[in-house]
Amino acid sequence: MLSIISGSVLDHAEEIILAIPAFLLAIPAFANQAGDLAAVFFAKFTTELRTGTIERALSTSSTLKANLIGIILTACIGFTFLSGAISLISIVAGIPSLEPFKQWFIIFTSGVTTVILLIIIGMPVAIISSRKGLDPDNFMSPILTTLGDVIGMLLLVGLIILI
Amino acid sequence: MIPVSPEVIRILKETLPATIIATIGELVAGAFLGNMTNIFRMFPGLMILVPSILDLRGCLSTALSSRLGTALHLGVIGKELGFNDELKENLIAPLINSVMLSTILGIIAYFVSSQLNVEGIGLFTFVFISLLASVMATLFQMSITVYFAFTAQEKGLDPDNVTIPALASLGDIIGIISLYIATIIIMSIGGVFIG
Repeated sequence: MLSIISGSVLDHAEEIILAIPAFLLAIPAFANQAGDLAAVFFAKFTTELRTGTIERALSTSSTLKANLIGIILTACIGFTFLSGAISLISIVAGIPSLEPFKQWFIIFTSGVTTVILLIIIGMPVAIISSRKGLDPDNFMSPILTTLGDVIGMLLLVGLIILI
Repeated sequence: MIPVSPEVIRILKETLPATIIATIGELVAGAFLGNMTNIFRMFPGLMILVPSILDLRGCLSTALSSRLGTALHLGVIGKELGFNDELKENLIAPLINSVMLSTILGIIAYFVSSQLNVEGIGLFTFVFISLLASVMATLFQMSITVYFAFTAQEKGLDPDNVTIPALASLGDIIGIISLYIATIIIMSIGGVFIG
C-alpha cells in the first residue's frame, strides 16, 4: 500500500516526468537501488544484533562504522553509474534528458539521501524490535523497499521540480 | 578524508558488482517504461500503479522462489516428479494472492487518483488493468521461476542462490510488459471511457 503513495508522487509530477523521458528510464533502477542498499546494511546490522549485544552493535569501533561507510560509498558510486548510464542511453537513443551535471546531481543527491534516511529511520525500528524479541529480518526488507520507493520518489521529484 | 578500512573495501567489492548488474537489468525495465509515455498520456493516473505492481511482483516472486528452493531441497518437487500436487499448491497461492492484492490495489489507486486528477481513468479500467497485468505477470514469472529452479538443481547449483537474484530485474521487466499489454487490451475494448 505504501507503494501507492510513491505512485501518487510520480503521478503528481507526471507532466514533468513525461517531458523528460530519461527519468522514466531511471525510475525502476533508482527505486530498487536505494531500498536494496539499505536492506544490505540492515542484513549486516541485524546479524550484529543477533550475535552480540545491542550496545556492541552500536559501538563505533564495531563493524557498524565500516558497514555505514561501505554502503554509502556503494550508493555514491551506484547512483553515479546510474546517471552516467542514463545519459549514455539518452544520447544513443535520442531520448530527451537534462543536462548531464544537473541529471547527475538530482539522481546522486536524491539517491544517496534516500539511503541515509532509510538507515536513520530503520535503526530504531531494528533495535526496538530486537529488544522486544522480534526478528527484524522478517519485516525490515519489505518496509525498506517500499519506504525507499516513497522517500526516493519524493526526493527525486522534488529535486526535478526545484532544479 | 573518509576512513577506508579493509572491511569497507570488502563491502565495496561484494556489493558494488551486484548493484551495478541489478541497475543494468532495471534500466532494461526502465526502457520499456520509457516507451510507454503515450500510454501514460492516454491513461491519466495510470502511473500510480507502476511502483505498486512492481513491488507486488517482487514480493510474490521472492516468496515463490524461496518456497520452491525449500521444496526442491526437501525433494517434494522436481523435474522427474512433474506437475505434482506439491508444485500445484506452491503455484496456486501466489496466483490467488496476485488476484486479490491487484484488485485491492486497483481500487485504492482509483481513489487516490480521483483525489489528484480532475479527469482520471475510471474504476473499472484501474481494476481491470491492475488485475490483468498482475495475473499475466504472475503466470509468466511462475513459469520462468519453476524453469530456473529446476534447471539450477539439474546443474548442481543451489536454487536459493540463483533464482532470487536472477529474477529480481526480470520481474520488473515482466511487470512493465504485462502492464503495457493490459493497457493495449483495454484500449482495444474501448475501456478508457467505461466508468
